Amino acid sequence: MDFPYAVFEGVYVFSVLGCMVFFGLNFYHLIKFGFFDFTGKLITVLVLGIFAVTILFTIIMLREVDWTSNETLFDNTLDDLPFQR
Amino acid sequence: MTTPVFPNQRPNEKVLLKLRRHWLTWAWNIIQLLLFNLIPPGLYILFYQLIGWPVPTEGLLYIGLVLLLSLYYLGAWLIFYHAFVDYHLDVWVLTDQRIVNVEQQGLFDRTISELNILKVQDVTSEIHGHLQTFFNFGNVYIQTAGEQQRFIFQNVPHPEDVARIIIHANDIALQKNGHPENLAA
Repeated sequence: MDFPYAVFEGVYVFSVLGCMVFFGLNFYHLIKFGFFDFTGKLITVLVLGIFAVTILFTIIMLREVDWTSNETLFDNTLDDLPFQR
Repeated sequence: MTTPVFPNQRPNEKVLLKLRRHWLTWAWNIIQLLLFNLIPPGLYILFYQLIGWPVPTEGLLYIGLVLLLSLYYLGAWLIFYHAFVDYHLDVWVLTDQRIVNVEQQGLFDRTISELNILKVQDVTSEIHGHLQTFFNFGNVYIQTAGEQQRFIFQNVPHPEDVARIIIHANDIALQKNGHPENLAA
């Protein structure tokens, strides 16, 4: 069974988008209710920085992957079972 | 008018105190974050250095591990940020006119209580345990004449000073505005 690498990519991108949405909701609440002070700004910048570094490292570590290729998870070992003859 | 310190601050209202829970109550989230950050390197040392598993450098396992690790760190820091926002939006504000309690529970649940400063009847500060004693934080209980019988400032720094300031603010407000029974219902 061939497993395309692009599935991983799709799941990852979808998850990152979900994380961004959740981050945005938290950030919105911090600003809307008027407590976006120095501490709020510091923590927000810190977390955004960590996000950027994490995604950057991920891109660097996976930059040579050919996302259009597949990997065979199960070869044809089941074809030669005795009861199938 | 100066920039409002809290939402719905009145134009002629002077803020005397703006309090949050002591940072130590949030320290568990910081410890949790540190532990979460150390788990993957710990597992790497355990499996690849000590046990001696080969480190994948290509293929499905490599891609899966890298993406999983990335999502793990994003998730850990997101949980930390959410905990910070939850902590940061819980505020008690003492002004020369009222006491405001803003309590955020999750992202979409927010309770705001207000008490006219003239309705304060009794203020008690409380410090329990060695941690609270050493770091000087605790609870302040405000007995009121309003619908909500008791306001509680939880785990605030310097509770004795806070209690004293509240009583002082109440005294000044009484001097300016007269007896609280004269207030309209």
